[in-house]
Amino acid sequence: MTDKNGGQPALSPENARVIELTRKDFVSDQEVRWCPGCGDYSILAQTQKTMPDFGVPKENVVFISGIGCSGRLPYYMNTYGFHSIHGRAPTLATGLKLANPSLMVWVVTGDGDALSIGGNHILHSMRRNVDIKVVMFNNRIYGLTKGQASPTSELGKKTKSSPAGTVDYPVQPLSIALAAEASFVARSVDTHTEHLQETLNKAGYHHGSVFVEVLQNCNIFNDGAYREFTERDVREDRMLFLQDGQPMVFGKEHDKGIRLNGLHPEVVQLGNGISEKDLLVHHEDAEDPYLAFMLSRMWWPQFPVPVGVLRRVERATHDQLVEGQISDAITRQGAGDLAKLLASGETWTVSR
Amino acid sequence: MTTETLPRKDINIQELDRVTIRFAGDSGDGMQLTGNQFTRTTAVFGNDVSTLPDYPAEIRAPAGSLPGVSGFQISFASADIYTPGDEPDVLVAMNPAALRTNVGDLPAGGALIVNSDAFSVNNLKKAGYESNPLTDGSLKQYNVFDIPISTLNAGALEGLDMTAKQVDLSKNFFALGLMFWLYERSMEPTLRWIEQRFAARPVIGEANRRALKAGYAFGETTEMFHTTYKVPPARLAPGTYRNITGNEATALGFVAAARLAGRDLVYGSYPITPASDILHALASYKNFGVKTFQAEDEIAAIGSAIGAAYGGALALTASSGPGIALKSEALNLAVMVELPLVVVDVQRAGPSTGMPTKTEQGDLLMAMFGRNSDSPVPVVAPATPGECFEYAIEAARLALKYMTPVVYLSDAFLANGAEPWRIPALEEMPDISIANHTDRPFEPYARDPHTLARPWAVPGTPGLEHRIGGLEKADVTGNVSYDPDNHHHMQLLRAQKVAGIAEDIPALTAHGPQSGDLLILGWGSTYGAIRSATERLQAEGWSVAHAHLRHLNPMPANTEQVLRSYRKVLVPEINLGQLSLLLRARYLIDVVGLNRVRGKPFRIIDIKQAAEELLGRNGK
Amino acid sequence: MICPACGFDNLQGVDECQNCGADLRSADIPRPGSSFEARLTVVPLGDVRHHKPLAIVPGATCAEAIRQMQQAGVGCLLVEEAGGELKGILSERDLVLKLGDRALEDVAVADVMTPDPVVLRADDSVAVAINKMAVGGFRHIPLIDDGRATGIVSARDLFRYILGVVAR
Repeated sequence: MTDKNGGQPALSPENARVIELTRKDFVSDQEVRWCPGCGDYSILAQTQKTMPDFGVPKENVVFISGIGCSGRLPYYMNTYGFHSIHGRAPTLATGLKLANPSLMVWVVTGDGDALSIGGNHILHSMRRNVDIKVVMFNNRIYGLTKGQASPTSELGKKTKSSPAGTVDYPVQPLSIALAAEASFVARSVDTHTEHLQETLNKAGYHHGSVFVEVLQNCNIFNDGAYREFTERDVREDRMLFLQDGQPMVFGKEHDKGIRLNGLHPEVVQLGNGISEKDLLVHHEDAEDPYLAFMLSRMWWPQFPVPVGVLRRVERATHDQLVEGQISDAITRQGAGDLAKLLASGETWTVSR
Repeated sequence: MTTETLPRKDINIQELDRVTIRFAGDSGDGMQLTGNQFTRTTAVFGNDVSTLPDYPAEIRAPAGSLPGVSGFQISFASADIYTPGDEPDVLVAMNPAALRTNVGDLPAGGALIVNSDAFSVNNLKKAGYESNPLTDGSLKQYNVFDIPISTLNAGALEGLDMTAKQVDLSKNFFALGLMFWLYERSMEPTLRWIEQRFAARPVIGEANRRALKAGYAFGETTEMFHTTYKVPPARLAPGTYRNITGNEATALGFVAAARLAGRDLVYGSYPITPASDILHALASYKNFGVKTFQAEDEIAAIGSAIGAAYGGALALTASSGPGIALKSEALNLAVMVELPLVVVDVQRAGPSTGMPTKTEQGDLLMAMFGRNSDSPVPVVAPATPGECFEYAIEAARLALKYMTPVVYLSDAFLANGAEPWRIPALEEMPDISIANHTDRPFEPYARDPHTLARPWAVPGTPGLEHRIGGLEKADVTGNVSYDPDNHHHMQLLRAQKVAGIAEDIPALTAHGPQSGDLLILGWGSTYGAIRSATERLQAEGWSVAHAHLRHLNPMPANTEQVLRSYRKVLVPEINLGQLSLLLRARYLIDVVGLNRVRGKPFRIIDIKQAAEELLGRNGK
Repeated sequence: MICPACGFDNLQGVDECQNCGADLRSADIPRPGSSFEARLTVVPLGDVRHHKPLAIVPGATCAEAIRQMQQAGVGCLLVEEAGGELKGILSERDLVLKLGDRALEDVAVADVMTPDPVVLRADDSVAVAINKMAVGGFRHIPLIDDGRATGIVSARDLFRYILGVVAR
């Protein structure tokens, strides 16, 4: 039978010290070939930086990618990696976890790979709570194939394939992830390196289906898609940095907040009778996703863009349930006896 | 266990070497159960047996309607039997709809046993009869036995505390008892079975027993039947046998293969007729460590299998034509990353949705070529339901040894048909395990000098971290490469690896003279009809042999030499000539195709006649 | 699905009992609960006594229609073209609900009739007719054969038939 480490990877900073991995251990010998100025460089760097924290032996980490610029990432990580076909990485990841549940499996994908051709597989791998960490680089364009519209491109976006502008309404990826019952949903930004590292770190620690949207800038085919609110000097006023258990406050002066007005969120100025007590308090682990869903709908300029962990709930993972059924069956029926199985049902013997 | 039968008087006993019976009725008539019980008893008695159930096309149909008819054909003999029979000798029709749909297959002079109680005005109307065929003379070319089975059965069950509906449900046992008497079968195995299965409902059990005995006694006492039939036991090879369908054998074969390979079986699949039963069977073997995954679509099914193969499991996916078409891109990924994987195609009539419950052999060329670029994969095809077991192991062996996906071609006829299967002992089965690679330094695309397989380094193995994927690879290092000469070289290598398997598979054998006038060459489920036709031709003195390919890619090394040993080659296929096309292209031999694409297996007579035509042109 | 033969508890929808192999395909489809129900699904409308159809042309006035209904003692007329093509059905209810303030002589039958009515054939069952009337909210259904109306079955005809069965 396959060599398994028996159960979930040991994730704790203590183990990291014992194994003594560093960022360098995760850098491969391949020369990185993204366009100069691409947001992917930053994501790669933060991923490499956060890997040692989990205390997972390097040989137990696997990166599976689809097709797109994001698809190149496994080649630049010195781990087991699989650059698979367009949209299907979550399916390979599901099968890999079934074969060896002790592996830590990351799925690297893009807005086209995950939400166009791969939409169905995102839906199902998230709802099954397969213990995989899906990181989707959302640059709102198809980069590798040189600039077509993607499912997250704005309505009316002019591209080579839509010279008169797109006629398709885009989707909000985190709303999709939440609707698909993902048990960990988060958003970060390629240029905010500390926040990105922290988010990837939290994602890695979660057992269950993880969906992280990274707002990524494609400086060649869709430059500045998020600049309006991610630029360093405005981001504190235009993004909402979520903190579990904390009221939703934002702004450089911490003077603005989000409160509930009927069924809708509302931006308010603190002071003049409005205090933090009136604001919505963020709870990552709320059993129902209403708050998280509402956060997933908020976008600039109507609202500050929420980043951080929107939702984090614990449920039995797919491989835990599958393993559980196997061990139950063995307990109830005894380990499989092949000779007995072949001879089951009515048999008769011909002698001589 | 006794096979004694009750004594007879004033009855002719005719000895036959082969009988074919078709049971047909509504779902409430229990013909599948009757057929299965008759099969068991016949097999236990020692005849060689071949069966084919004919399920209704609709999931549910109104009672008594034509789409609701369910049938079961069984052929048994005192010698080797290979098919469930061209046409029945006896048709047991429990209602007008069953008669309507099946009587066309009964030859003139055949025996027709009908439940006359079911021929009411309403039932006749539902079956589209303007008048009652039992009385209007339209059945005069058959030997008709008009029996009020429902009434007789109810009479036998009088006094039992049952509703009229429950009483009616036992009438299939009456029909069964009658058939047992007619063919000199013992009731013992069925009586014991009833006792076992109806232990929770003793009244119903008693009713079934009475019904069975009443049917038997009816045969004995009635004046209707002047002859009973005796089909002596066949000489089967010694061993322990069970009846098995192709799908059952396929599922068991892969459980065994996983055990022999020392790896977990991971099965990713999506429900599709006629392959869903493989998923149902494997899902029930959890105590063997079998992990089944019902994916969201066909592509996720093969994707999960590839991921599992990457993780070191014995990976399997199964589907039918339309699903295999969807899997083609992913199958090609498996070809490029050279991971072991078995893809089962239980073929059905196409194109597109086609006829989901009908058989066909139409996916051979898709298995060979249905992917972008030159994409060689080994292809195997079992010939009988029992062979589905051993070829599952063979497919796994090739996949593991050569680090390649393998296509395993079954079809709806194999999947649902059944035959006695000699249960192999575990010691007889081959060790197909290969070791995971653990040595350093490690080159992902270095090759074994004999098999040309690359090493299998599984995630979780320290120090062997590497990347694989769908882009073309440099030889040996496995790095992404766009070098033109490298690509040509890798295309040749991949082709060579598969071609080299020809040295590792058994030679093609011919049943009959080793050279002569005609070779009938087939693959897959045409085995039974071809073998039967060949034996009949041989018995009539023709110089004919039968060879059957189980490996379609590569073919055995001696294939050309075998084909050239005969003046003509006839290739019967349930498609428009796919094997013919391959043979012509490979060997430049002008083979003659016999192609019938009717969603049904060949009849023995069709192959025999085609052969006679070819031989006739040659002279004897 | 509990097997009616051996009592084994099978998964819903399986075709054959896992324990005894009994064919379950007829056990889990809707079946008549009583012999009365069964009868209703089988007895054809042709067996139910109904009136010969009376017809009127679409151009006739409502006054004329009422006169005919009164003479014949019926509550419903077929509306047919001269050639026999069925255009609609005119019932008492149509007259009551759709005339409004208008005078009977001024309104054509065509304005008030139910056009393109639900029709059945003589070999359709009583159960189908009851169902159509209950769902559609009408009390008369023309019977047709080969495109031509051969009769009208009314709710009252069906009640009489049911009474006959029940009273037995």
